Amino acid sequence: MAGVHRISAGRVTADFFTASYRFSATAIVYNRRLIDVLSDRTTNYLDMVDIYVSRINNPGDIVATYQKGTLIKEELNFIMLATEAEGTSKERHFANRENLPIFISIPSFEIHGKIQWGAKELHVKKLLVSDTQNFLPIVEATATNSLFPEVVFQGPMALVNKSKIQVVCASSLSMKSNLPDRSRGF
Amino acid sequence: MASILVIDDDKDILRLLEFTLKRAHHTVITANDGKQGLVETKAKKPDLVVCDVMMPKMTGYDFCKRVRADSHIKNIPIIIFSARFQPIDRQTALDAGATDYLPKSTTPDALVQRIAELLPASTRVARGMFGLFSLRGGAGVTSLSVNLSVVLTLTQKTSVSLIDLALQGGHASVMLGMRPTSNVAQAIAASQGNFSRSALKPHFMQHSSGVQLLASAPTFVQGLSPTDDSLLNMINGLNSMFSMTVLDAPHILELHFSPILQIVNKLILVLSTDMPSLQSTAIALQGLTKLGMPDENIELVVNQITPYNSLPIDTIQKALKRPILATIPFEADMVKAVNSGKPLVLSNPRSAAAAAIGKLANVLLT
Repeated sequence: MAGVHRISAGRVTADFFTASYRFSATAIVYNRRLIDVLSDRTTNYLDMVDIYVSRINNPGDIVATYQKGTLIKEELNFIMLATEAEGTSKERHFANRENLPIFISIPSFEIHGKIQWGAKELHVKKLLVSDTQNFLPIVEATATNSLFPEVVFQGPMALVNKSKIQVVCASSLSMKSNLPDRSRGF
Repeated sequence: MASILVIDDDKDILRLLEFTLKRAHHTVITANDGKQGLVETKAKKPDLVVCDVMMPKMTGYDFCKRVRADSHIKNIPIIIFSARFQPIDRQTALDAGATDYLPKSTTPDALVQRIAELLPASTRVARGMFGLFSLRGGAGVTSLSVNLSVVLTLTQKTSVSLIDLALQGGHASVMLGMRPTSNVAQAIAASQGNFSRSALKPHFMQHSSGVQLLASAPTFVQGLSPTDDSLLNMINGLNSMFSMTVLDAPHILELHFSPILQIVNKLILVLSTDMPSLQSTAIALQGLTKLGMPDENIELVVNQITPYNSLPIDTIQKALKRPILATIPFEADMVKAVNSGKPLVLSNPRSAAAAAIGKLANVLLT
């Protein structure tokens, strides 16, 4: 049986992170999934209601609350979701998904988790450019603040803003390097 | 069973929790924000509060702090039930004075389970009514009813009544070694429709364990049948007298008897591990469904009345398409306990059967 997390249709409650703040808020997604709304290039904004603001160094304390607001999508670092469903696009399905360990660094955070990959070989760069989505879904995610390492956020899925990614590292048994094969010489 | 205040600004969640908790036999009070919740808490002093964090006017954390600062309500358990699901949120809730923290990804059933664990013992067992029933005799319904009543009385340290609804010729008094001074029929006749505590009390006998027994008539009584509304009214009246009641139900499954079975919190269908009992149970399940008995209120308990292996539990479960809540293993001393008038859970408390009955009592209370 599902929990009661998303009971109101068209709304998703999640934690939205910038480098300095945690916003616990409800995003208005209408009849779409959150990841599809985030990838909608017709708007740079995400409408929110019931916004609870916490500073990143003390993320349990609520310092301000607002009824309505707008987030600028490209300014978000990542979003931590309570369930996987909102982070999986309706348009993206892998027949034989494999969960591969991944490390990502973004401003103020390092994120460990797993990436779901359907192709035979993993090209790390392709993770960032292979589809039209602006946010990369990471399952079993743990985000650690690099300035305050005791500040840790966990969730079944994180959506990481691709434009904020500094480094991405992944491993796979069948991983193919993006560098040219020089073992045979030039 | 308990009064629970639910505080949440999301009306959909409020409705879902209200429905879920009412289904678990709790009385539910609701409030839309922390301020209103605080007013309700002070006015109604609920047994437990389920509170969201992110609410207008007052957050759940502030609500916890205010409750803990008020000496009249500071001991009420509070479960913070929030969409904020990080480990730091749990710690923040506990630091604010919450008793426990559950994320909203928790299933409603898991929330009900946690509430049952956190409720004070007195409220956890209040108004519990369990009926034990089989369509045919010989499954050990009365011996199980007697032993279960004793276990509930001793472990919960609360008032438990045992009602022998066989009306005439029932065996509960024999199994408790008591000679009835009154019985169900006399209680109904003498009360004349007034089923208050003072009217019913003289008809109960107290066993040395503390169980309050309302026995069946030891002789033939004419003119009393379970179709009589007075029996239902009397059983309803027991709610104000006892924290828990165990009904040793007669082997009757008819339309006019079903209201009595439907007022119990749990109806325990007792069956033995043989083909006739399995067949009777299957028919009983069909009948209970047709009579409108809520499916979730029915539990199956297997009572192994012989030492011989007959039908395996798996086979019974598959045949009835339902899980078995508990299995009471065969105990040779059970017959001795019945004949001596000393229930097995008292005469041989270390036996496997006594342990299984104790476990059954625990399961029924969670």
